[in-house]
Amino acid sequence: MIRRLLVLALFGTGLAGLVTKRNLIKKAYALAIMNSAIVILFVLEGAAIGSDAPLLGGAGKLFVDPIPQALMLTAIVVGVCVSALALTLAYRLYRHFGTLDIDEIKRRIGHE
Amino acid sequence: MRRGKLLSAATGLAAASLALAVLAPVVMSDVDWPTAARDTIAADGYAATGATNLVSAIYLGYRAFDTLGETIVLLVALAGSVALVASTPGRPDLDRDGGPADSRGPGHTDIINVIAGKLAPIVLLFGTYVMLYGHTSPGGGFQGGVVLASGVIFIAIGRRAGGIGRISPSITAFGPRTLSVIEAIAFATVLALSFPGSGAALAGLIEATGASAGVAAKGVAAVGPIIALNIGIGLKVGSGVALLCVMMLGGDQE
Repeated sequence: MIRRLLVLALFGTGLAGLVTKRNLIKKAYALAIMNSAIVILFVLEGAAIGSDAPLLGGAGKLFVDPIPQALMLTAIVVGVCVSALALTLAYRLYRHFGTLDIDEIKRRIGHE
Repeated sequence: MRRGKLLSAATGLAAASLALAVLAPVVMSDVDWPTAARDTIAADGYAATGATNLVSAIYLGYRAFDTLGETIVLLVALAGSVALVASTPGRPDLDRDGGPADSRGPGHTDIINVIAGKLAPIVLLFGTYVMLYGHTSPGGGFQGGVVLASGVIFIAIGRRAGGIGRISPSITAFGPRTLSVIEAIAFATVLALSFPGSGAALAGLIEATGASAGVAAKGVAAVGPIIALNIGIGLKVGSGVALLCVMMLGGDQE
């Protein structure tokens, strides 16, 4: 329970950063933090039924569930894709407007 | 003004309580994690796929098609990012006598030059190991690929003026053009391996050439297709991520 609350706090950190920060780079990192929280939650829950890494060899091992780990591999890759695209868009916006402040960018788009 | 603040505070509160309503059941849940899937895979995974790393057995053996889709997602995202970076107007100009990192901006010190250049071969070797042994130890194509990419990035930032380690097509094999060619070939390999039966054909070919030392016992599937997929995915991820980072460093503007 306490572990899940910590994961929830991590997720909440990301969500709060995504909502309240104006800097686009910080928003991209907030997305990455939320992604990490989900990954940690799945790996944590899958590890509840065992204690050994899911590598065969040696007897009497009690494996953790390998399925959440394989799923989270996908989630990590998709998270990297999201980060790459978000950072690229932020880079492009910075090159065009000279600022990373989302309110400032919105204001300038309204002026053009 | 005051009214706007009140409104945004109310909206924020409503959004936070909605998020909590979604997340609270996840945290409060006291259902035990099921063990059936774990037991099945621990019992049959090795015989069915030949991989002793059960995570590899799942994502390259049982559901390799899913991994193909994941690779396509990565390809599309990286292609979009690379296109956006390449078409950005007003990118910083490079200095005349070399690549972007030769311009000694803030943060580009002698320490980074020396250490990154020395570290690059070790990181590349480690990435290759992680990529090749993903079927039997922690690691695999995706993990090894990003380590390979960081090795290439070390080469890119650890350059000395005129020395080795320049990401320039005329000097090293790690230019943006080479990286994109490697990525295309690796992705074609992954696609070819994903056709029905091609994995079995590859396993048969490996066995026919007598290189079946890796096949442990009768009744155990050959692990060759998983190793081949790991290599293909590793090269694809490594060259793709490295290409994006090199372009963000401005390495395509020689």
